Amino acid sequence: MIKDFNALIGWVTETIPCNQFILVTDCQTDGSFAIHNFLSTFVRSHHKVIFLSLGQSFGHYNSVAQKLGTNLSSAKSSGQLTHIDGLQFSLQLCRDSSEDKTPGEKLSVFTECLRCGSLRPLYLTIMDLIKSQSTSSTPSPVSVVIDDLSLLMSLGFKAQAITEFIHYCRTALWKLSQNAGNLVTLVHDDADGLDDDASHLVIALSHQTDMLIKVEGLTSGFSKDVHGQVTIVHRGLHQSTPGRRKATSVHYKILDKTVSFFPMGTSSAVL
Amino acid sequence: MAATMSTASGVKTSFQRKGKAKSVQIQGTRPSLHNNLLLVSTGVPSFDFILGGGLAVGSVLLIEEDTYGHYAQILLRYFLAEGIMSGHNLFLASASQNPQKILKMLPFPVEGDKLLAGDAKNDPTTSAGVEPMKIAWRYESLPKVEGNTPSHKFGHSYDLSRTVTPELLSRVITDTFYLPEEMKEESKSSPLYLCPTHQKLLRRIESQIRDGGYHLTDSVQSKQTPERTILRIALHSLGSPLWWDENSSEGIDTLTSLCRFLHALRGLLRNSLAVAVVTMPTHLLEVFTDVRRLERLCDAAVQIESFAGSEKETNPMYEEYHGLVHVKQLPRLNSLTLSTPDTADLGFKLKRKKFTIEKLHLPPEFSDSTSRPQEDVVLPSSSTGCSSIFQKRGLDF
Repeated sequence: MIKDFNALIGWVTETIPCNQFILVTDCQTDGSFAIHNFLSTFVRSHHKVIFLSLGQSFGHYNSVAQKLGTNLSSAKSSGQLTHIDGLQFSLQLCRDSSEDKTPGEKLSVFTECLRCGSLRPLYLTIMDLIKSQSTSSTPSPVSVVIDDLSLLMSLGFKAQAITEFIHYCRTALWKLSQNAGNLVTLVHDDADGLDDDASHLVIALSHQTDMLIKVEGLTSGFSKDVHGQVTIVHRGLHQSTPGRRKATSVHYKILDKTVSFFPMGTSSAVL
Repeated sequence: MAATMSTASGVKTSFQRKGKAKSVQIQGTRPSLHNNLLLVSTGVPSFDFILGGGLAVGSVLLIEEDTYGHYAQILLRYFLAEGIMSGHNLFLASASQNPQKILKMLPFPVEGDKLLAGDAKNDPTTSAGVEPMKIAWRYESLPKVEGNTPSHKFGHSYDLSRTVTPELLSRVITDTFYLPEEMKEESKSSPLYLCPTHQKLLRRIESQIRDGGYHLTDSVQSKQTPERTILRIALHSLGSPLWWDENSSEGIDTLTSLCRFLHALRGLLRNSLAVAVVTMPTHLLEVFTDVRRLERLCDAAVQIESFAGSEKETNPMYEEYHGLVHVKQLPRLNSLTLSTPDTADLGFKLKRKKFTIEKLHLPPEFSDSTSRPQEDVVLPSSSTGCSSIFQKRGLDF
C-alpha cells in the first residue's frame, strides 16, 4: 500500500521530498489511511517523527502500522518517533479544573491552551521537541504528523487559533533549513457550508498547503467495492516553475492490509 | 518492577492482540474476527452483527435516540441485562428517569430461571432428579453440556414481557448516577472547562474505573481482583436539556462541553476494561454538523428512527417495522478496514418479547396480481406527438 500511495502522490524516488505541508481532508468518510501511510513512510525513510494524536490511542496506530509492515513502538522506544498523547487532553482538563487542585500545581499543556485561548503552549511543546530532535548527532529530517485537527475545534478552539498554530508549526520546521521534514495533518470536511468556522478552517489550511489530499465518499452512496474517491492536488508553491495545479482523482478500496487505488470506473466489480 | 510497569503504561491500551487477551480470560467476551479486539455483546444478536460482532472493550457506542426515546432505551436495557448475564458490573446514569427504575425494567433473561435455580441447588442436572428416558434412551448416557456455564456464553436471549428479578440484579455490582440527586449539594465555583454536570459524571466514572480495578495500567500490581470483569457504562439521554445546568456554567458552550466529555470518556476507556453506550437525543440539535462532530467522538454511531408520529407509520412499505436503523459510523479500531454490512437499509421491530433489527424488505404480496394497480394504468389520452400510437393501450412489456 505504501508504495502505491506514494506513487499516487508522486513520491517515486527512494528519498522522499521534504519541506512540504500536506493536508488531508475527508468528507463523509474516513481519511485516516493517509495518515497511517505517512507515518509508516516517514518512519521507514528514517525521519525523526513528532506525532500528535488526538483521536486515537497509540496502540491503534501501532497495530495498523504493523499491518503495513512498520513497527511504530520500536521506533518510539528508539527515540525516532515522539508521541504526544492528545487523547488524554480532555481528561487532564477535567482533573485540572477539579476542586482539590492546589493553585500552585502545574497545569497540563491543554489546560494552559484553553486558558489563554490559543494553542501557543502546545506549539511551544512541539517546537521544543523539534529543536531537541534536530540537534542530535545524526542529521535526519524532522517531520510532524498531527491526526485530526478538527478535534481541536470540537474541543473549543476557533479556526483562527488552529490556523495560526499550523502556521507556527510550519515555520518552526522550516527554520531548520537543512533537515526540515514534512508536516501532515488531517481535517474533517463535513461542513456543507453551514458551519462557518469549520469550513473556514478547511479553506484557510487548503490555501497554505503544498499538497492537498481530498478523500470523499461516493456521492452515489454506499458501495462494497468502491469505498470512495481520492483527489490529489499538487500546488507546487515551492517549485521553481509555477506550474498549473494538477489534480488527479482515483477510486480506492480499503482492504485488510492495504488500500488499492484504481482509475475511476475500473473497479474489479465493474469490469 | 513497578518502575518498568509505569514506563510501559503509555503504550498499553485495551486494544490488545488476541494472544495477549487469551491469558486474561474474561467471561462474556470473545475476540473479534476482524481486529483481535475483545468484544462484548449488546444483548441484541442482530445489533451485534451490525456492529461487526459486538462492542469492542474500550470503545463508546452512540445511539441517537428516536423522537420519544422509547426504542433507544430498550436497547440500553438490553445492554445492561446482558451485563447481568455475563457477570459484568453496571454503571447507569440518567437525568430524566431514576436509574433504579430503569434497572427494575431490564428484560428478563430466558435462561434466568435456570440460573437462579442453579444458585439454589448448585447442580440442577444431577441424575437423581432426572426421570429415566423411555424412548430415546440412548441419549441418556450423553454428557450433559448445556446449562453448565450459562454466564460464559456470548449473548443471551431475553423476554421483554418480564422484568428482571432483584435476585438476578444482585448478582452483579450496580452503581447509579441520578442527576437531580447528585447535583443537590452546591460545589464551589472554580475555573471550569466542563459543564458541572458533565464534570461530576466524568469524575464519578473515573473513580469507578479506578476503584473497581478496571484500569489496565495499574491492574497488574494490584491483586485485589483475582477475576477481571468488564464495567458496562450506560449513559441515558446525555445531552438532553436536563443535563444542562445553566446557572453555574456561563461561558461554556453546551456542545463544546459535551465534546470534551466524550473525548475524555474515550481517553479514559481506552485504558480500561470498560465499554460505554451513550444515548443522545441528537434530533434536538439543530445543526447537522454538530451531530457529525459528536459522532466522530464516539467509535460507533447508530441512529434509531421510529415511525411513531411520522407519516411512515402508515406507509405500506414499512408495515412490518416499527422504525429504521441508520448506521452512521462503524468502529475502525486497530485496523484500516471496518466491518462493512451487507446493506445499509435496516429496520427494527419490537415484538411482544423481543426486539430485532432486520434487513429491510418489502412485505410479501399475498393477494392475486389482479389487484395490482399497474395493470390498469392507461396512458392519458391527451398525450401527443411520438406517443400517439400507444393511445388507449395499457402498458405491456
